[in-house]
Amino acid sequence: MKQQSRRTFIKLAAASSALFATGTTKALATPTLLRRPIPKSGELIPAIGMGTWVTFNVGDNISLRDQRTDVLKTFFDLGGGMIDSSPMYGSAEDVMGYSLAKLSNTQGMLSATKIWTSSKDEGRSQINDSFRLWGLKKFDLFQVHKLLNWEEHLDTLRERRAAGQIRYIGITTSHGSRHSEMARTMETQDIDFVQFTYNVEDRDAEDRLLPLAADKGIAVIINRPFQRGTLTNRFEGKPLPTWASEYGITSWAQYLLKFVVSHPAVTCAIPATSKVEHMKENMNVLQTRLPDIKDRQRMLDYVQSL
Amino acid sequence: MDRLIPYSTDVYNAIISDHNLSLWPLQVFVVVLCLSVIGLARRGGANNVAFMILAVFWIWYGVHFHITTYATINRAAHYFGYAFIIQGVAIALWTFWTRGQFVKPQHRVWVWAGIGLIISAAVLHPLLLTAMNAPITYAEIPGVMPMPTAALTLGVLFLMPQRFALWLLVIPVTWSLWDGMSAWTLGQNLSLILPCIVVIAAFCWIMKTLSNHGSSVR
Repeated sequence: MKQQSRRTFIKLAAASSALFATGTTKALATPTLLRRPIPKSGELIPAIGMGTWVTFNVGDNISLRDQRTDVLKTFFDLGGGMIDSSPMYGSAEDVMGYSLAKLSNTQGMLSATKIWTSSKDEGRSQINDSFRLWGLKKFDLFQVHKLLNWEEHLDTLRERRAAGQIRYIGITTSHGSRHSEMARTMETQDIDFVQFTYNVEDRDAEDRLLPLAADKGIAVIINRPFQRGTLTNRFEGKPLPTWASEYGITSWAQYLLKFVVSHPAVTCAIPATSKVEHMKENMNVLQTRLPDIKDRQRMLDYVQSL
Repeated sequence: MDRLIPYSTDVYNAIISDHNLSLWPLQVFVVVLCLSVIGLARRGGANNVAFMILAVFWIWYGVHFHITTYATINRAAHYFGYAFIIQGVAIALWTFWTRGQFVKPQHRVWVWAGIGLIISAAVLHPLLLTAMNAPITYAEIPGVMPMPTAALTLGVLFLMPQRFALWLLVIPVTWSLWDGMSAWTLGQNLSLILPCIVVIAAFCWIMKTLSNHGSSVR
């Protein structure tokens, strides 16, 4: 595993100090909920959101749909905000619409989905499908999935943003792929959000994408904070360090999430789960103290020693 | 590989369970039909009936499960469905072209291999999963689920007293490879057994066929 570059981190923290001055410092002072600002608007959002890859793709099975509705209810009850999905995720958007229609409290939701096609026309069609499936009249965030034909899709999304149908636009990648193209897009395009993979094992984003996002004032969504369960499975049964309790960490999931969201350029992490208990565990991260730079390094050192 | 599987094991099992419940008690008839295929396939005149049963299984399964059910959790299922329909049509056409042909009975080894594959597909595979405390509704049988349908097809081909075109194996073997990789990714190790048997049996058959072809050329 790559060593944390303390110098890079300190430079990044300094570069993004303005970002923190607008909201995060205040948010950290709030004992109840950890929020981060969207740099382009200053809007504060909870630093833990939720993904829907695999977990909300349950088809037409009513029992499973109702169970996922319970997971979503828990998310909102505990102060959740961003929900991220995609047409790529099978029935996930349909299931999300089903669950949202059943819940009376969806306050604070920040709806996020994607265009996933290389065809411009099909992209427009997917946008309309997402509005219908979620049952929404306005989306908070639309992203271009895996940078597929991002040139044309960003034009479409800008039109929709200008028409007031979408609040923010962005681009995504995952599994550490296409970082160079994402960086070029961040440097040249007017976008509000980027989404990519970052966790204790996959830290390529520290070199370029995270500092660039902070520099350009682009909000960062982190997918695969648990490397699709690989990390939580790997550390299961192994002891947490004694000092973890200082940060309210009681599980490996919380340990891994704290590492991700304590990076100053990260706006929000979107772990996916199909279990209410795991959702509670994830959301608890919003209510406890974050590690500082020194302890982030200590977190890395510890997992590397296991 | 995990990028290609957009659902979890419990969701896949729930889909199978819903599918089985929607068809019950058709499964009983299907298992009897599968076992009767053993007798039909060995008879010169009746083997066409066995093959037409297979053709119906592939087409019906492609439409009923892949395109209408499995596609709700896996967009690629539409393409799987088209492939299954193609396989069913190919079997039907081949049956039509070769009707009445009778070359010679297969060697005893292949007859037993064919019977073994059919029994594995129709009886042992569903029993194996349920024996491991999986609910009976998760049982996969030929005509209702794809992997046992592929195994049944190979078994019937081995029993036939006439030559069959190797291209009839392409889709069943490709499906078996996909099914095996999916089972591996989802951690369903018991579900790896049948795909492995089919792939190994098909490989042996192809090697035997190519070897015979080489001998006749010399």
